[in-house]
Amino acid sequence: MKANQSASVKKQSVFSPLFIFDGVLLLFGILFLLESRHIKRGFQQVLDARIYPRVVAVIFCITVAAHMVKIVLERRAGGGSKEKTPLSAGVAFKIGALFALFIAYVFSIQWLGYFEAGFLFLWFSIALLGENSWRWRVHALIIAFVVISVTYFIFGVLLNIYVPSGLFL
Amino acid sequence: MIDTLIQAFHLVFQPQVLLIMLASSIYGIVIGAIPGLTAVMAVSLIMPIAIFLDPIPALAAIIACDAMAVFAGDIPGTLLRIPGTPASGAYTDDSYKLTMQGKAETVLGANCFFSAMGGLVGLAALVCAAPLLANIALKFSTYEYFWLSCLGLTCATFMTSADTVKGIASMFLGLFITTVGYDSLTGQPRFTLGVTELLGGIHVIPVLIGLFALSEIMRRVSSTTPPSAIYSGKIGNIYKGIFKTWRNHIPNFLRGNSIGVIVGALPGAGADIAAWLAYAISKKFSKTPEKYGTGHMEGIIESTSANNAALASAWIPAFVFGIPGDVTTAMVIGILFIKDLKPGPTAFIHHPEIIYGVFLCFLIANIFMLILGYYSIKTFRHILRIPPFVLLPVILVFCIVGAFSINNSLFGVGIMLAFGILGYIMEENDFPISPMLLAIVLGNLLEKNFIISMVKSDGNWIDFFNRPIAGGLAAAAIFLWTYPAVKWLYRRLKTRPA
Repeated sequence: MKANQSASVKKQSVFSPLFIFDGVLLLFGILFLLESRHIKRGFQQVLDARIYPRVVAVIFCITVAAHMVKIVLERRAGGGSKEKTPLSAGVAFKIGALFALFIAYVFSIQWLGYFEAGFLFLWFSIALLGENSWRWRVHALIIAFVVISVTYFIFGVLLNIYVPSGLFL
Repeated sequence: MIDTLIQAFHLVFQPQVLLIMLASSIYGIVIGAIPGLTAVMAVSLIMPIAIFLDPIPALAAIIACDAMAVFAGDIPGTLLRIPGTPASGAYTDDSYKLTMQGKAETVLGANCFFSAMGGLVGLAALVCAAPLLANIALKFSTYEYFWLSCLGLTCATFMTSADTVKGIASMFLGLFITTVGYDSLTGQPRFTLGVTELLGGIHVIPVLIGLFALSEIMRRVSSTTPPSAIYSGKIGNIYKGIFKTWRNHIPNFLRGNSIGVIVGALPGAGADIAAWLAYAISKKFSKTPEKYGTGHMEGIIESTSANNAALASAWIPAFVFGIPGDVTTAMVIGILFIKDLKPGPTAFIHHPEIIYGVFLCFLIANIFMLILGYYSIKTFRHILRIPPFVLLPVILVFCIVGAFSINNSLFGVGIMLAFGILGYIMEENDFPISPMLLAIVLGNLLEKNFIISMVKSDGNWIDFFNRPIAGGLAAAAIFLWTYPAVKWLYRRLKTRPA
């Protein structure tokens, strides 16, 4: 019974986030290797356009596979790198929410414009990451307005870099 | 030479260039002084602006920002015991303990003064070595460049990671990315998946903003470390007694600078490794090694000199061979290519004024450091009062502008986002990201030289080893590739019972 338990613990611990990430990289390498079939040879007789990416993909796959084997061997020997503490629910929520805001910002920038979308993104994200109070939300609004105005002036006016125009600017 | 120098003077000593250097210096100090925000991040965020500038102002901005950020990393290390950049981590304990003994001014003065002096020694090495090596490099053919690229990538992989296999995987991932887009010789599209924007390849700027800035923001948001209290003591004249300190530590100063210059010139090594190595060597050769870590000046002087000396010498391989010495010079090479200024020995013939201009920029940046360092240390507390939850979204907005401005399309922003997530996951799993960036910069050079060499030799591999320099570089590269395996095999045989 004990032996079974310890075996199951070992089996579980092999599939660490690192091992899974290695697996994703390996899959990525294999997909690229398969995709290389669609590359046309080109005019070169000595080396066609497919050879170099294939060599890179094969070595990449071998390296990642070797690392996966190394993890398994280390875990079986009872060693290996320490597992990192998983993120708390609050932190994971903040990262998720910040990225959701970020993606919304990226997609809305064409419709709302750089200034307006940037202002809304800054306001919401500063309010989200800071204190949970109305006073802070008002502070966040002022900070967002000042920061986006300054960046708009630097990039859009001073450096003359194109930024998408929108409702007001 | 005099004419070129005068030309360089005219290019550099313009109000616009000096103002850009000043602004970049202040920006570098702010980013470097904030714990967790690195010098590489500071430079990566300045790149989108640098693209729109002329070569000299662009390079001046990068040089000033990088030098200041590396120096400014010492400030929170000394007053908070949190290194601002990884390069300052080596001597943080010593600096902080000296601060606790009431010697904050002496330590901060030493940080600023020896960083600037280290930068000047690195510059001297760059001025002396680069033209000499460029003369040799003129004799290089595609075979030598192929092996040099291999050697550069190998050094970067081995030096930036404790786990070599992870470093190799990261490097090959970078090489992979460079194969996306049109093949430079046959013109065939590769791995574009029908996406028109990918035909020109993946642009390096959104990639590096994603890898170094966006992933850093994610790490900062997920960090649970509580903020530390700021040193509340008064800080007076930091340069008081600095020459006496210098006189008492001349061997440390010389050794630190020598290590910095050598390590900096190695492809992929950079300031962080130079500082840690200098500290370790200083301790090994010290008469009082037991004092290291308890508040000892020797290690501080040696490491702080080494990290800034490495910044300038990292430009030696970048200028001479087009092989980056560190992540910053990898970005610089990217900028030079965008501006049609191919780095390499021919740059000394075609654009000597740019080379001399860079030398002058280093000189000015280190003089700025002595002046701005004095005032930045006094205003450090205000910089640290900026709460991270205000700073991080602001940096995100900068990231967006940077990635967007490359092609005026959201595609660059998407690339940045993808690489930000990739960089975050990689670093969370202890995969180094520097080899990947160096591979992205060197990938096309490696492929092009490999294919041209193969065509020249009609597929005959022997030609890769026939020329003396190519043979020597090949031997060095092959030695480095096989060394870990030979070492592992030797250990296995030694431990096997008879």
